[in-house]
Amino acid sequence: MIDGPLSLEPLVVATILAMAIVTYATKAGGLWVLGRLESHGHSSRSTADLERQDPAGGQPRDDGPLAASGRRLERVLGVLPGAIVVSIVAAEVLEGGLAEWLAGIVVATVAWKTENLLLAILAGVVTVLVIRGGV
Amino acid sequence: MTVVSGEANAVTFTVGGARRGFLECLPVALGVASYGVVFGVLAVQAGLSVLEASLMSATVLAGAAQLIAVDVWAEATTVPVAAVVLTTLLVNLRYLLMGAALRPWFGGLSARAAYGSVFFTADENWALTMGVYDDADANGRPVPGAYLLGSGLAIWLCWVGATILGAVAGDRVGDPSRYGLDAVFLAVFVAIAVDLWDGGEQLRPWAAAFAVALATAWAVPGYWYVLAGALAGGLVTLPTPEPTGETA
Repeated sequence: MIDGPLSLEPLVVATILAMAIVTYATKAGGLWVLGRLESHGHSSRSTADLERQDPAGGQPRDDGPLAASGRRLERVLGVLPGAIVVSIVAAEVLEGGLAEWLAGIVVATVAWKTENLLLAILAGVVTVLVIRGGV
Repeated sequence: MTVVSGEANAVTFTVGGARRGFLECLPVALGVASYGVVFGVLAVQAGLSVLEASLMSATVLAGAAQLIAVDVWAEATTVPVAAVVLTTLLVNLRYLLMGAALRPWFGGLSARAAYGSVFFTADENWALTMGVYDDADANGRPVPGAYLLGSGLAIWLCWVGATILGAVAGDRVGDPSRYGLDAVFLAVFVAIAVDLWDGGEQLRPWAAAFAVALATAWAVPGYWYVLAGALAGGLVTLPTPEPTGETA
């Protein structure tokens, strides 16, 4: 490789900074949008709507089509992150063979039971190594 | 305004809160470091320098997105700017929801405290932080607003340090799959999926996303499968009838 460990290629750096900006936008964006909605009286309005309805539990809110599409949007946005992540998992297991499929199941099981990321990763790595015939 | 039970209590932002977050998050940060090393290795093998890889980890601080970015990078002959930025955006969309979830407590902080803290959001410390905040609310205790920052700093240090280690070792490691390190990539995403799983309502959209992504990845080269799977998941969730009396 002609570049040393400390080299900085302008296009690479530009890409990295673009990644950083985009990432920060996602980390700060949710907080920011809610702040804007609240300052425009959004949440206070929906609270007032609820108070006008019969507060009996279990009733679906009947506060108009706009709020309904807002909830629909919320639902779609809520499902997007998971959909994207499982799409990436899908491509990964497609590329791989038995080892990857089994590793995926093992990782999911360990992650589910222990909620420990490190254990889950280790379990996946060990599974792959065992199936591939060991190192 | 009187504080009603269930509303956020006093939210502080102190060095003590940050320190608590830092210390309590260290074990988790070590887990993150494990795949930070893998990221470093993959980054230099994809053509980045040690400094470039470290810069990415320091400024982006998003493990899953960085892993897929260097994957895109490795496959390309020239720097794949658009593909990298687009996949970064898609993979990181979940942060929008995570940031929004912090609003009840962060709404009262100064802009500098709130927007400075969220830079240090990662999946692991966010989950830890939400647990601490909910717990403080439930027990009527003051909420340590700086916990996200402190815990995030622990992750940032470990993440950047691990990247440097991996990047320096990178060329000497050879083929990562010899050590099963390619499984780390899969493991990270599966673990995030397990974390995001919220119950039965997601089964159909996720199954649709998985199936469509699988078919797209098989039929079409490149990273279109991410977009296709996302669209499928979103479309499938649209006609779901409104659940009665259930909070979203």
